[in-house]
Amino acid sequence: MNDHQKHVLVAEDDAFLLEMIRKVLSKHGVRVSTAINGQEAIDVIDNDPPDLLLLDLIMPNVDGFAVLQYRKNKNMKFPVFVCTNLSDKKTIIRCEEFDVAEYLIKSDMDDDQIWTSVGKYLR
Amino acid sequence: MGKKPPLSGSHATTLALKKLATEKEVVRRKLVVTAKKLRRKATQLAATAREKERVRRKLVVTAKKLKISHETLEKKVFERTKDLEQMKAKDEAILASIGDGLVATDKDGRILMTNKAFERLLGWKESEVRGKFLSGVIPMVDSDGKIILQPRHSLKDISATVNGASGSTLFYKKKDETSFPVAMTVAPIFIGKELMGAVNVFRDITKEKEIDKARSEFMAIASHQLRTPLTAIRWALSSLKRENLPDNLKKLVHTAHETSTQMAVTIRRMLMISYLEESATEPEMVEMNLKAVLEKVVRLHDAHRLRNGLEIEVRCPQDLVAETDEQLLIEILDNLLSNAYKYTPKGGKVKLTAALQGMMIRIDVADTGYGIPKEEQRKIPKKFFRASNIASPAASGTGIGLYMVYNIVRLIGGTISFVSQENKGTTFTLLFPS
Repeated sequence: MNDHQKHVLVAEDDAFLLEMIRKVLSKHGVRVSTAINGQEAIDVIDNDPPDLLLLDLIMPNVDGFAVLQYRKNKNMKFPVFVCTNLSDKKTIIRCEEFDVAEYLIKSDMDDDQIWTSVGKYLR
Repeated sequence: MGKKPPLSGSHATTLALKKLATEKEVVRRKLVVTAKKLRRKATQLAATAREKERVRRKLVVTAKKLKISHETLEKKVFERTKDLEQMKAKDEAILASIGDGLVATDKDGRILMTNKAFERLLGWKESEVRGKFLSGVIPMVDSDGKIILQPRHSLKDISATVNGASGSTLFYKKKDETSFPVAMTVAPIFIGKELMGAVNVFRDITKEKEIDKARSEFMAIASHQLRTPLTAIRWALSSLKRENLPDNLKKLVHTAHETSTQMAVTIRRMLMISYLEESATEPEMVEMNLKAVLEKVVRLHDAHRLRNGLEIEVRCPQDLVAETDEQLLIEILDNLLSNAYKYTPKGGKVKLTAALQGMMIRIDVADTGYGIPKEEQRKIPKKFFRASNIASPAASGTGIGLYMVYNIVRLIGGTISFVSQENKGTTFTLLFPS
């Protein structure tokens, strides 16, 4: 494994989308960890901090905001790309307060465009 | 010496009588003169008495007239006072019946009068606030409770604040320190040309805000629920597009992918219209290089342009800087360019020109397309308008783009106009503060 291989954590409760994102990132040589809810994401963050987190907001039990709060409390600096289908002002402002690097609307992008956004940050 | 001879007695008497007669005559004449004088005087006195009597009679008549006038006047004053009292009672009843709060102030902002709704909405009695500064008694606050106007501000300042606060909600703080959202109108009171004060009519819009909130939440949830399955469809089709499929299937997948992309754009635009209509979107002004923004928008639609076989020309000074909301400007240009590509037949040309015009930036988006029929031009920017001469099946559209563009242009303080000639083309001109 490449020493400089970037590590991206993808937190997404839709198995199909999660797999699509995993595939496209892996194809470009990224090491991908996956989580299907906020708690799983927090576990990965604790054990194997990522270089970037791709985060869905609405997830069962522990949601994306709880993950953002956890990152803030721990004063962690890895960039977060929120990847959601919510686009109301309240949600966007809340994300800005958590210092989110990018706010992506899932339905406005393809898996390839996800890589275009993430790749720019990792390079 | 000779002595006078003594008179005889009768002679002396005769002389004495003569002298007496003379004296009598003198006295008689004097009496005649006096009598004449007295007669003259009496005549004069009689004339004066007559004149006095005439004057007295006149005075009596005048006094009578005055008495009548006084009585009439008193009656009129009484009636007028009664009318005024009735009018005042009517005005007070009207003011009291208004559901909206009302407060009138002098030109310095001191409270002159209030109505019942004012007391009901704010918890202050008129007697407690009369003569005090309105903004001191009832602070105007924002949604975080931060005071917008300090005390001792006149209604003119309040008016400026109210008029300048497009979009954001103002709150009034009640006597019990709680607050509620208000919609208000402030109007100056002029007597002649002199500003005497102002009248402020306000109402509690808590209910409207609740409805707005429910609407926003519904839109947020509905759009999320629409977008979630759409994302899966789009991504699956995008994945399929990369597979080595037979040509007929490839075409089907391509069309399905394009359509799903269009649906995503439609949802995004409908959401934006919803935000614009409830004034939840406020521009974020930043400085930007305009040429870079134009090129970015052009790049976004390059695939569309090449597919339709169109030519694009961008003309913009290298160093032209604009200060506006970048996202909103992109949304405007994105729509205009997308329309230009959509409604221009193969081989056509689209020209994007930007320049400084006084204090404004002018951007023209000109195409050589189908144009908009003259009789339909007045329908722009109606929601869901589509020109009847658009026969091309490739040019699918919902007709909400232009409606949204016109709304966004207003938001960035700009104007938009167009000239169009059927089968010659359309030019949209956007002007906004630089």
